[in-house]
Amino acid sequence: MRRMFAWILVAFAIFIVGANVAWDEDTCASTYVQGDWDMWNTFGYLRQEWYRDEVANFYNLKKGDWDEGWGWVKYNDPDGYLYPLSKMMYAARILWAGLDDTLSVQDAWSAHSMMEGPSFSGGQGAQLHAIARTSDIVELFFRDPNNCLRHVALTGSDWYAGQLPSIQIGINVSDQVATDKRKFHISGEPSVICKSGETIDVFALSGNELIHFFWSTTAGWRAESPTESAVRPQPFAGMDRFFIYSNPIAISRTPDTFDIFACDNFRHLIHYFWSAGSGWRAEDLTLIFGDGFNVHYDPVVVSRSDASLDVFGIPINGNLLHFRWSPNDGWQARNITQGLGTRFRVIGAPAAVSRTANGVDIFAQSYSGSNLLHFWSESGLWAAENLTERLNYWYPVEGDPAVLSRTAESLDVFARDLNDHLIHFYWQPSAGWNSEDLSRNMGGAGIVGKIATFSKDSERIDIFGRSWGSHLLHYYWYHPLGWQYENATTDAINTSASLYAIVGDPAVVSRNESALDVFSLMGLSLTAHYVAAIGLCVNPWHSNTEYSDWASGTIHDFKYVPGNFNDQEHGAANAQRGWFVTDRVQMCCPSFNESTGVRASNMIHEATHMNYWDNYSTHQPSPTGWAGGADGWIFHTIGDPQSRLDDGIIATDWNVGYVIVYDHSPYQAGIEYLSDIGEFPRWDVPFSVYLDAIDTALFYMYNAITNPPGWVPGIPRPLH
Amino acid sequence: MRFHLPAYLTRSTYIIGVFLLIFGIGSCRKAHHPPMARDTVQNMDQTQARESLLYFKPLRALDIVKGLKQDVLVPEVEKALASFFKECSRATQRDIPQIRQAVSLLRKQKNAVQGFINSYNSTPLGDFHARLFILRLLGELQRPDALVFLKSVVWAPLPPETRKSKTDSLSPRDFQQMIQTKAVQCIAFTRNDDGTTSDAAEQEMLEIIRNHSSTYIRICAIDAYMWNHGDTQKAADSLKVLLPANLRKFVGRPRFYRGANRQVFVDQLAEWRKRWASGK
Repeated sequence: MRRMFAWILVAFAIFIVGANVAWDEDTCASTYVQGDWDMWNTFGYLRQEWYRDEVANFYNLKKGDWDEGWGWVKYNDPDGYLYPLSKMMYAARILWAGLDDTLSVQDAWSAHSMMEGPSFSGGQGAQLHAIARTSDIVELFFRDPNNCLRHVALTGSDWYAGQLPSIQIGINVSDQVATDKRKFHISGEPSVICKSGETIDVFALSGNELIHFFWSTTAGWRAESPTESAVRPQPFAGMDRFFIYSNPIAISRTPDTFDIFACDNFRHLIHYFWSAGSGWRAEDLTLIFGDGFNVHYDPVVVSRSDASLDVFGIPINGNLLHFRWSPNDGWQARNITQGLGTRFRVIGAPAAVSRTANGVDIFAQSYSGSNLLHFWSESGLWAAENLTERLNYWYPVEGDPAVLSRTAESLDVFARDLNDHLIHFYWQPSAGWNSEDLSRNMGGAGIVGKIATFSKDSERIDIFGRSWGSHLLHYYWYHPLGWQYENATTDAINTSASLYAIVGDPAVVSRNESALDVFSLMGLSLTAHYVAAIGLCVNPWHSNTEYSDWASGTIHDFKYVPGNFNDQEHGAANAQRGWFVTDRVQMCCPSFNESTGVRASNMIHEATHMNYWDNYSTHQPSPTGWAGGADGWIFHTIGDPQSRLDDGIIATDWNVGYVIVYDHSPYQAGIEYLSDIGEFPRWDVPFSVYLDAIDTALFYMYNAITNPPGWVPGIPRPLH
Repeated sequence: MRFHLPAYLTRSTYIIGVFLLIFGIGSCRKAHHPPMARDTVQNMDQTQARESLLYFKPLRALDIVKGLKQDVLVPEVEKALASFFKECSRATQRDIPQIRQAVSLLRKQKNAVQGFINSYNSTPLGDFHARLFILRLLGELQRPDALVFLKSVVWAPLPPETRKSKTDSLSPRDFQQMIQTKAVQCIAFTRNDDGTTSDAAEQEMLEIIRNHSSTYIRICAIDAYMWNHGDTQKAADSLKVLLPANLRKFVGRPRFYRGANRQVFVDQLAEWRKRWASGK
């Protein structure tokens, strides 16, 4: 009985081995990559085991050509080729497939500081205000430590998105316009309007007066006091002028008008207005509508059209007040909260947006706590709801919200929750309201201070904020990709994070469709300028599949395969022989202690020659020697379908014997590959490998190409 | 106590049985890996990549540096660096923050620069890539006390050209030029202790740009200088007056890097081509 058990054991073992052999032969697609991370190590070795017909398939070989002594021998090339390609093959195979060619729409940030000194220094508590006057001019305004209005003009010819301007001019506007009688100092935050590329208008509080600074290309800076120009028809509390107390909020409905709103010392809402024909005038709106319409916080102004004004103010009791103007009806006022109930009292600065010509949406923090309230009107009728309550109290909010309307049928509201996470409330007619915690979802840091929003078009949203660590945080959404997050300070490609810590709220400006410039004060002596471009980013010159097909033999008849070197130094493709294992090929290569990138790019290079061979049945080598280069460079752009590696002409070129295959010379194809793997390595390609590829690309570019291509692969200090 | 085989099993039957069982099960383990079609091999997706993570050991670069006490002697630094280099070489993009942190700690290590120099010098001349890698990390220290060494690398005579006319492989001279280029980049990014640009490094860069015997190295020096100055027009203008006409086209070229705006890159390249390109 026991002897029988022993023989059963043996039979079972034989069965397992036998069955395994049968599976091997039936499932040749199986690939087994041994080892672990060390294989990628510069000092390690790569070893793979493939089934023979898989190798044959990948390299476009015939399984029957296998020679037990030589592996697949080279064929079809009577001259023999000198390159030891067996050394290259396996590392190359890994790398051909190692490109990350996914879409990217956010450029890398770089951080800079603007020149030190009073021209670039903000006063205590001051904030930067930025506007784009033209596609290559950005104007910055702020209050300096001496309470002067400062203006910094940033410009330069060829100021590309994501780069610094060549010209930075700092002007002390208050000094320029000062007279013997008046210094034109300011005592609050300016409000800036740029009606055209030729003019700038800045309104600011000076003591208890409204000051208008105005600039034109022809006359430079000048200043005036609208408060001096507009006289009250009837004195109020002994005053015959419309003095103000809060920061003015200015808008320009038409090229020929200004409307400025501010509170005075009695919490009356004061409206200054200017038109080309009649000059400055003013009115006291609270005096018109009575004491129930006092305003205690900075008003919010929305203009739905040239002929409408909607101003929202909050008195001390938290009611939301609406002042509405139209040419036909003049000013009308309504206490919105009174009609909806005291649970719709608000606090702080509401965020307002007009999605349609007849509607306005207001978002504000509730007076009683951490709820986000939504007010909306259609044709003058107001409704409201508690969004926090509607969304099951998931995200109680803190601080003032910010709102964007990308289309007439979308609303995106951003607010901080009690943990300073960035919360996104979003609405569409079909789906109603939803919310999400972007900080948690994206693993992003929390935001302190004001949330800065920007939307280039309906497909993109950019949100900026300051972290507790004074870093500039960037959350952005692009329709095909969804939400992304980055810490612009630590990710900046040119510097270390601590150098550009910000202390103020970010000011965002986009001077053209690709440029995104963010400014913030860095303390009392410097201003930080973060630059990046938005839109489609540079991606690899060729795709993962193109390179792999090009070099693996899918497109051409691969003529060079591993010989049967049996050592790890040269690489090997050996039959894996044993009692029951007859169909495996074990492939080794010296992993990365040699120039892996060069091995891979040489395969691309040689594949280009091979394609030429396939068409002309002759080998047309590159000119020899590198004095002054060896190959020509045929320019093509990124993402051009006609620049694919399998599209274009196959010829010699320029009457000098260059090999041109599908509009690429052999060295060019290799350099493009090296640059791509250097900049777009898949997540698991080692640092040492992809940096080496960049250095090699640089070398070939200048030493193996007769006409350098005009671009630089990578950045000189990749770790920055 | 002696071990007695049971009488009912012969020794050979037992050994054959056990051997076959182990071998068979071992083979099954390989066969159980999921089939991977050719296109899957080429496009190893993120899920697979994440699964592969299970095989990877965590990077220890930061631990190694943290394990170094301040002011330890050079041999101890050198010993730690040997492990540090190995760790860094297998790092990937996701590890870059750790490498940065480790480098920032090394920057404060008194004998770090000498440790790097000794490591470089003890690496065989023929192991170009290891030397290149050490230089890359030395440059990241941005230490002014590395300047003398970096200058010696940059100005060392290049070996004679040995490349045969029909081979495309890189020669020792080529590799040495790549190493000198790296040293040039390291010089460009040297900073004083207070983080400001080093005047000595700045002067050295201009000297290399003007007078190095290798045009390739001069071109790379121009590139490093420009990047170090924020690629500004002002820097370009100041450099162009120093350069002969044939090198001016290498000032202010667009950079191909992950995160560069595609349209900007294409526009800048078109502009460069319009002005400077020859041939097609």
